[in-house]
Amino acid sequence: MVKLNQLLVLALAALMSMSVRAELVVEVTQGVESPTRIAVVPFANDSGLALSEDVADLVQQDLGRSGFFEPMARENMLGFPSRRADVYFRDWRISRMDYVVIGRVENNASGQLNITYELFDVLREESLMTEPLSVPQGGLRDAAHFIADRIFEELTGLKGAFSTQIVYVTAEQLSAGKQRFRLKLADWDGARAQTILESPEPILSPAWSMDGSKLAYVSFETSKPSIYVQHLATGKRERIQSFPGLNGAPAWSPDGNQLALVLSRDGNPEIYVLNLQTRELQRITRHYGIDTEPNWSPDGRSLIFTSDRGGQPQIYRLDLASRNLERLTFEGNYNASGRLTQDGRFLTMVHRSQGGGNGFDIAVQDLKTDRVDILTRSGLAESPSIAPNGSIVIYATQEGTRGVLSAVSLDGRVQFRMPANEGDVREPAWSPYLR
Amino acid sequence: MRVANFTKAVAITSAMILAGCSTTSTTTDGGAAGSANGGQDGAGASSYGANSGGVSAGQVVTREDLNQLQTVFYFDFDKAVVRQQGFADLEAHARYLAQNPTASVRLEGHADERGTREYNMALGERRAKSVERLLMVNGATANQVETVSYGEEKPAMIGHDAAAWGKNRRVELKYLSK
Amino acid sequence: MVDFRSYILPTFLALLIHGLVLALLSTHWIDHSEPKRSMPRHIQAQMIDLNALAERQAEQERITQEKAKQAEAAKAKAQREREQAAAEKRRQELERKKAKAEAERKAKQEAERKRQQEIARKREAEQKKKAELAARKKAEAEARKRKAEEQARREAEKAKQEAAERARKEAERREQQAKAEQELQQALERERQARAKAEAAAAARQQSQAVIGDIRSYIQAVLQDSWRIPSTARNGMEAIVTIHLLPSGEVDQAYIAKSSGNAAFDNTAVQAVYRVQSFPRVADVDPILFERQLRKLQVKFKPEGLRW
Repeated sequence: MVKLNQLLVLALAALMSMSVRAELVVEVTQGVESPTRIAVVPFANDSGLALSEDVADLVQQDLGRSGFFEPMARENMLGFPSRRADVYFRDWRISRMDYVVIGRVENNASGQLNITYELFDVLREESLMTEPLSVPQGGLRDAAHFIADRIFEELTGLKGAFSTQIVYVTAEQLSAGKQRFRLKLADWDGARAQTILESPEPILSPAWSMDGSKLAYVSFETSKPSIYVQHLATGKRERIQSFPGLNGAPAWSPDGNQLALVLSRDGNPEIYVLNLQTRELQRITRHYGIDTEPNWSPDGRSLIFTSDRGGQPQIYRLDLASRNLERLTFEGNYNASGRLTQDGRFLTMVHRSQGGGNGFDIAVQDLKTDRVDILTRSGLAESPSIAPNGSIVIYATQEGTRGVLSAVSLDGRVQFRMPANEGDVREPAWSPYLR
Repeated sequence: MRVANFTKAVAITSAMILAGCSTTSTTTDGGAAGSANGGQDGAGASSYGANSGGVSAGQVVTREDLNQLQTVFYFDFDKAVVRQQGFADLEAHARYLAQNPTASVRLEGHADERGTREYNMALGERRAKSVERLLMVNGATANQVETVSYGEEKPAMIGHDAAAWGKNRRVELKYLSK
Repeated sequence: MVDFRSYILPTFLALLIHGLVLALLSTHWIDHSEPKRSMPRHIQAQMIDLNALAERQAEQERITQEKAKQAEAAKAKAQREREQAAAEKRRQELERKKAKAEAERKAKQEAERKRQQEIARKREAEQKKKAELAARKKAEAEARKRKAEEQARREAEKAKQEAAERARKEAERREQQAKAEQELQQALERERQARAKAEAAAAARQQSQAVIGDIRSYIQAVLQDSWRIPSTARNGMEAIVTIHLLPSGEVDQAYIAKSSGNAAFDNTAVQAVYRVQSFPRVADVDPILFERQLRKLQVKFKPEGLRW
């Protein structure tokens, strides 16, 4: 009796001391799924020159279009500081900003421009990074994309993809039955577009080599489709051996040594892999259905492709070593143009839902959970191409009777139109990281 | 009298087939596309009636006859099956090719804008191939026929509606030499 | 003391025997005397009562007659005479009766005196006889008593020893009992105190737990409003942030205690705390409780229900 009581007392005492020692743990499982607020203050121009570009504006646009940031409109800013001493964190906090970027442009002795920028954490009231850049006068745009990349990486942990480029195809109806096709190269935001090929016959399926130095594409310039490889630096190009019937859908292997493509030389469209060094051609698929749109997995060990062998176009994955075939898509009655993110986890594609009418949209499938999310509601979306950091998908869609390029963040949060381009625009392809 | 009855029967049967086709296309391509195709097919059907009188089995097909023949053949969405009303004209083309070994044709397959470009390229290819097969089983030889697919790159009609799509899902038969 | 006690029992027994004998004798005596004594007293009392009653009646009559005399003045004189004669007659009668009663009384007194003498004589003999018997009985009792006393003494001695032993044992037992009692009381007291203490602690703990529970929900709600989950967040990611608070509720510092493995994700968690800046309701918490649980606390940021 007495002993029992003593035990009880001891136990209570132990419990009490435990509860005293235990630290309070609060669990937060919900939050606001909204982009990070950042203010990119106009950079001070201390160069005495009229600058061709508004660097801060370009940085702001880049960050805003990524979907990760919500930049502050300039007209709402309480001041335009360009030096650390002038940054009043309280003001930015009142404006509900988490980060502030300031900068200034100056002349240097060698006739170049010095750009100094600094990123501040408003909440912790500290400088996160600052960096001086030296650029030629014509290099302001590159500098802006570079700064945006650095800030993006600092704050998101992902490498920025603002210094990348895109290629795309435009088509113009010159007169009845006369068209002009152009293959164009531009900054990721559509700026500084330049034509790298022009033809009266269709051009399509441009594909970047993994090092960003070459393009492969399909051109009908001989009135039959042929695959060409063009070196971007020199403009020099070569035609890959051409076969009767289809020659299409080229895709570079990650190591750059092989090209997956589609030929119908054996009767119907099949996937082949061409070794660019040995010129050896290997047939990959063998089915009377349509097999097309090959794309490499990031590890180069398998190919994903579109096939209607199941009755409707769906995306399959073929392991190149084991020849094991796996169907990836099951939702919707039309899934094509599959592309994988660099981490191999997400598959973007053109998708038409079951009973969803005639709408073709861009969808993303999480290959880990097979969850499918439809990212667009445009109805005629095609040619999705993923930014190398996996954050944004660029795609072609229709606006009126014109094709335009649009982009959507992989999580669907942010969607925006690429700047207007001449003619009917289609077939965008996002470059890998350049340089 | 008996011949007249037979003709009537053929007419009714073909009409029924047409109706069936319209219905099928409605379900596969959507209402607007179906009715547009129906109208299109109806026009094609009347030329078929006229042609069937002019070009009958075993007869020689002349160059002039070719001008009367249909050279564009239409398809249902995501399908590469030649519609029946095009069979007779394709047979006539095949006979012409068989009778003129130096003549050759190019079959250009097309698709409407819906779906992906490369898949549509393959679809156009498949449509051209199925027309090619019909020509070959009716006497044309392999070296007289070449196929090419333009996918959705060269639409016959600009537009983003069922009427345009119906016009664009096609195979165009072009004589490289007659 | 002890010696006196040893005589108690024999003395008591002797007294009891005497008492019994007396009781027997007295019963005989009462049975004989009672009827003779009570009868005359009973008659006498009756007569005295009647006489008194008659006098009161006569008086009453007299009053009535007085009244009647006033009403019938003429008749009264003659009647008075008649009545005087009647009264005389009644007086004579009464005296006669008195004399007779006196004679009877005297006779009775004589008889009584004789009877009393007889009784006394009988009683004397009786007493003599009784004294002899008593003496004899006394002698016998004396002998018995001595014997009994001897016996009693021995028994008493034995009893005394036994009693002493018993007493010793009893004392011992009592001592033990008292001791046990004391111990039990002490234990109970200790238990009571412990329980009171534990109860007080439990109540305090419950109270503080309720407060802590409230504060936990409050901090959680504030942080959920403040946390901007980054696009790169994935279900299953988890970062633990340690927060140091000031008693005012202000955030003193916040830092990653356990990383999610994704620096940007960790950063958003810390930012969520700094964005809040202050948890004003913490200032209302009891200072001791604040020191124990709130000065330093851990927040686990673990997104749930994300798309991926």
